[in-house]
Amino acid sequence: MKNLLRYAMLTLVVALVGSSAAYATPVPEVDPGMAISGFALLAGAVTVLRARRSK
Amino acid sequence: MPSGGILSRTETLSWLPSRLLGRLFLFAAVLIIDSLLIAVVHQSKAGWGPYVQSVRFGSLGFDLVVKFGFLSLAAFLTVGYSRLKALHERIPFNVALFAGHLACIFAAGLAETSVRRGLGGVPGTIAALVLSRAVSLVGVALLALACLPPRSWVTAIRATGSSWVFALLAGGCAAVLIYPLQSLWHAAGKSGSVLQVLTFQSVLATLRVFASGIVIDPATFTLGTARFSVTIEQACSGLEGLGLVLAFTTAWLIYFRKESRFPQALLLVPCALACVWLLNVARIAALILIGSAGAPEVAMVGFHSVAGWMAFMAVAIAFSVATQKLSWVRRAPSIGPQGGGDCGLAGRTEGPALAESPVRETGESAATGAYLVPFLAILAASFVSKAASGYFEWLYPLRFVAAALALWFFRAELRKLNWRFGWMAPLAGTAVFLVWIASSWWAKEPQASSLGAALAAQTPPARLAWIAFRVAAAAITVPIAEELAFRGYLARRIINREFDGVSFRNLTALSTAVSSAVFGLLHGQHWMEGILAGVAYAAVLKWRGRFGDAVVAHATSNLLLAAWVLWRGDWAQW
Repeated sequence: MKNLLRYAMLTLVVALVGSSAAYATPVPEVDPGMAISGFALLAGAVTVLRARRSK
Repeated sequence: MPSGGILSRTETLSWLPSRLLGRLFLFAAVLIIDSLLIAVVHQSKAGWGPYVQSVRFGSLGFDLVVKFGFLSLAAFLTVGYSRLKALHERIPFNVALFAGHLACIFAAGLAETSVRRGLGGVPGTIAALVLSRAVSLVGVALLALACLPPRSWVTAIRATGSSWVFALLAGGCAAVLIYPLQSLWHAAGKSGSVLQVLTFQSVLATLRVFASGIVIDPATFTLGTARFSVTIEQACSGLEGLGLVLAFTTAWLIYFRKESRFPQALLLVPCALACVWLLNVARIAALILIGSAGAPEVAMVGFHSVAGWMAFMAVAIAFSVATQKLSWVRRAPSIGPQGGGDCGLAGRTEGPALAESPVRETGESAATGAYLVPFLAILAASFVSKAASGYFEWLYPLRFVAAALALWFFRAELRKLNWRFGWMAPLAGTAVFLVWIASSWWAKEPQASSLGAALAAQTPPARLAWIAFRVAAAAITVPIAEELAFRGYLARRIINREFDGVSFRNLTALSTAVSSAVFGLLHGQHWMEGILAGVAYAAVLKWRGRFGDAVVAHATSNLLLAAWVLWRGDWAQW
């Protein structure tokens, strides 16, 4: 139950932040419209880098 | 246990933290709320009186004291956290003193309002200001005693040894450094912030290496060439990149604290900040060079929007690699049977024992790359192609090529999956397609999109080639890469760290919901349809446990959507 609540809250936060970021006005240096793609790419790249090497 | 009377209200306020550390956090939280309330009055522009500026200097001293207090408390809680956490004595909460605190804050707010309105002329304003400050201090003292009686404060200070000295020193240094550091990004006048001036001069120096005939206007921070120039605003001076990198590096070091050596690892933070700032300088210089080379649309639309992200990601990835690879930063890997949670390095030891015990495997599953890299290749290629494009992403075929190469590279691992599929897969894909276009169908008229006009402006061979790659990507590489990432990896990774050992039949409602939510969010304005599609593909996958079913369902949706776009000219769907 605790895990369910944790993931539910996480999803809610991601949904709210993500959807608002996706429609934000582009700003000079880092475009918030690409926030979800950017963080997905970063999170994925870091996850792959932390993966064990195949033997 | 507390004695009787008003001091024994702990039982009636059982929802309040009752131990010392919790009470200190409560004290800090209430102080923050008080400060926000006072700040609302303080910042209110309504009714500002004529004497505010004359008393402003007096306010600065008090502001400094407030900042010193906050920072010292934060430092004390940080330094003494583990020792304070070990104190389990239950502490009574004094409701009467807390009521006195609330009264003081209310009085301070009224006095602050009087200051703002300049009631009573200069003497009245000064008196109200002094009253506001004095009442605020009394209020803080009452709050401190309401949360912790004097003996508990003494206990906290004794239990944490000399932490309070370090906390005061840290608070003092931080409070003194606030104003000079703020000048880095906050412009006091027309001269610009320190960071803005530094960025301007650095871009100018970089440009002089690569181009001649540089045009500058230092008064407005404008520079470039006769053909193309830009103005470096404060927001362009690298602040966003610095903020993102600071947040990332801090979060990384906190989450993976057991894997890093301190304080060595902290040295990487300023290095990362310096790198991202220099990359911002390079970004602006490249922007000007691209615009001057005759591609102002690429410079201001594609490159402008994407280069900042690329710089941030490059630094963040380099930082994470450095923390794992540099031996003077990384702690020895974990050993023995015990192991931690997601970072998997809890319970480690260092020293000669390493050579004697079997090394426990840490990190994500070795299959992670095969499931994530194709999708990451598409994302990375999209960043590159957008950076090289204006309003029309002419380099879209790069996405197809990148994904195809990644899938080919991991073909051995991917062959292990069951690629067979049944009749339910195309049926589910068709249902998803119908849901996806429902809003467009009801709208009768296709949404406005510049893609159709941009394609019409291309030569017929270029247009055909672009559409062929777009359809091929939609029907082949995108379904495979996305199903691998979201259903193959994420939905199963939520269930178990060794995700490749989890059967697709064992997907749970939670794992389906979370992976579908992330899948939907990556579809921008179609996020709701994306979530429903994710649930549908996961359901098909779970039904027979065959990965091929999910891929065929996804490919069917995308192929039908491509046919819809080409038939109806509804380019906004792409």
